[in-house]
Amino acid sequence: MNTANSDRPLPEGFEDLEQFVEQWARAEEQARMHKRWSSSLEEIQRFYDAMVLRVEPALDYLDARNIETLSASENRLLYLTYSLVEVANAVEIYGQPASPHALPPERFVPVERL
Amino acid sequence: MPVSQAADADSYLSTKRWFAKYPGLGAPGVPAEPFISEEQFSLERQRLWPNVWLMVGRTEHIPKPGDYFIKEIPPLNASLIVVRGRDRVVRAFHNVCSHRGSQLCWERSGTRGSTTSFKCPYHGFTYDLEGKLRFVPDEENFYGLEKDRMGLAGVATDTWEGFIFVHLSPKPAETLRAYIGEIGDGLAGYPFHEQAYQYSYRAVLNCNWKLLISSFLEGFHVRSLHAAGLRRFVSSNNPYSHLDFVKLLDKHRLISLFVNPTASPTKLADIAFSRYRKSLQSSSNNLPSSGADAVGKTSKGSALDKFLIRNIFPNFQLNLVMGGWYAYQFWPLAVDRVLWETRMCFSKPVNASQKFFQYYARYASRDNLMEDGRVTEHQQLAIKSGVIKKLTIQDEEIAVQHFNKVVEDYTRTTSA
Repeated sequence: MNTANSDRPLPEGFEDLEQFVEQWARAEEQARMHKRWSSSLEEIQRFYDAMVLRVEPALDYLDARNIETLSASENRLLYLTYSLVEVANAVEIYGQPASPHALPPERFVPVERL
Repeated sequence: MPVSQAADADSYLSTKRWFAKYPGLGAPGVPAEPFISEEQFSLERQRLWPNVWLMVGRTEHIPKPGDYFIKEIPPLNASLIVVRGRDRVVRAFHNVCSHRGSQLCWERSGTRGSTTSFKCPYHGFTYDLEGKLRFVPDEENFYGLEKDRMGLAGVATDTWEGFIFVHLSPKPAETLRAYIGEIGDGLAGYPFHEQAYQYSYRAVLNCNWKLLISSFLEGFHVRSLHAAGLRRFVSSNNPYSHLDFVKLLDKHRLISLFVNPTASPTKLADIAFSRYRKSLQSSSNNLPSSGADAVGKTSKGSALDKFLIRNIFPNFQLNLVMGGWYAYQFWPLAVDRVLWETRMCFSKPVNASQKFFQYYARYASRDNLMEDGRVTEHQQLAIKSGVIKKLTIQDEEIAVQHFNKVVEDYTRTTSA
């Protein structure tokens, strides 16, 4: 683990994304779903527009590291890439946070085990 | 192969094909009553669920002697302990102490653990990993206790390609192998166990279990219900997603959907797939070549142009997807309530790009599954009104009719 990095919100070089950490760097899938469903399309769009330009450098950065031993700040960067995935359909397909024909997120629940 | 694709397009659009091929199904149409009838639900509990093999988990979930998981079978009010014995054999037992009937394990369904014995919390009766009663507290105070005959009640258990199945009748009418039959063709040796990194979802829907399963047995709804999410995969020469083929077996069914391989990906799909391809080149984490035929025409990291749905009766749907496999299961809780379990399994991700791709892959499916789940609740409400007595079925929806007819056959003719 890179301890120098773990005190920062995000690894060095990704300062431009720090503004999104508090709202979008969520470890759990259900938390990301909840954030997506409870956000306005404008907020989603702002995150998407910034993140879609930075996701490849972020993955390049993370791919160079051991996925099992990421530091806290590196994990936050990974969670931001997950949140980009989570909101992509809102921007690219539905033009709203989610399909109007979909179950609400609290009814399709990610679970540890079946 | 643009030439043969054009020829295919003509043939699959020109005529109604399926009901002529399967005349035993009768005229198109499915009765509405079985989706709302308490009596039918009761017949299913008596005649169907005790007489079928049910998938309950994977062998790699319990790799070592003493490893176990708990699995509930709601339509039979059963809770099972599925455990690997000291002899490495996988067995299933009713989670019922033979003393005064408490459950031995109180964890929720799906919980895994590892133990050397099962001790009932109530009075301490203790059973070994093979289900034998090993210890009775205050044994001398019982009357003629036959310890040898007081083991845990066993349940017929067998495995197919690493999937653990149970059968809750005392003497199953057929072996698992015979039961699976042709639906397993092409899957022998498929490395499901190498794609054992599992993401799971659970949903409880207010609809009949058969309605939810039926929603996965045709491609006709894709253009409408999934208009936003999946329409780009519908090609212009097959606008209503007529099937590549449908194969109706004794109990099971296999349908193959065309997927437009030239669909222009969304920006994020493009990023996810290119990262996936790149990560394959730099690791050994690959689509196993032995599985390529089973998945459909595919090549390393390229999009599929067919999508096969294996519907294994009664409640297990198995889909092979790029880099992994999905399993859906549907457990009735009441005539109008179903527990829907979704497993999405991939190779263990070795880097961030693979994690990113796997999140994209399951999420791209998940958003559409959330639509399938919602529409069936509205279907249940509509059918419950009694306005329609029959669901109208078109040629491409034949697998819906077949599935519901097999259920009807079990509940009408199979005696318990």
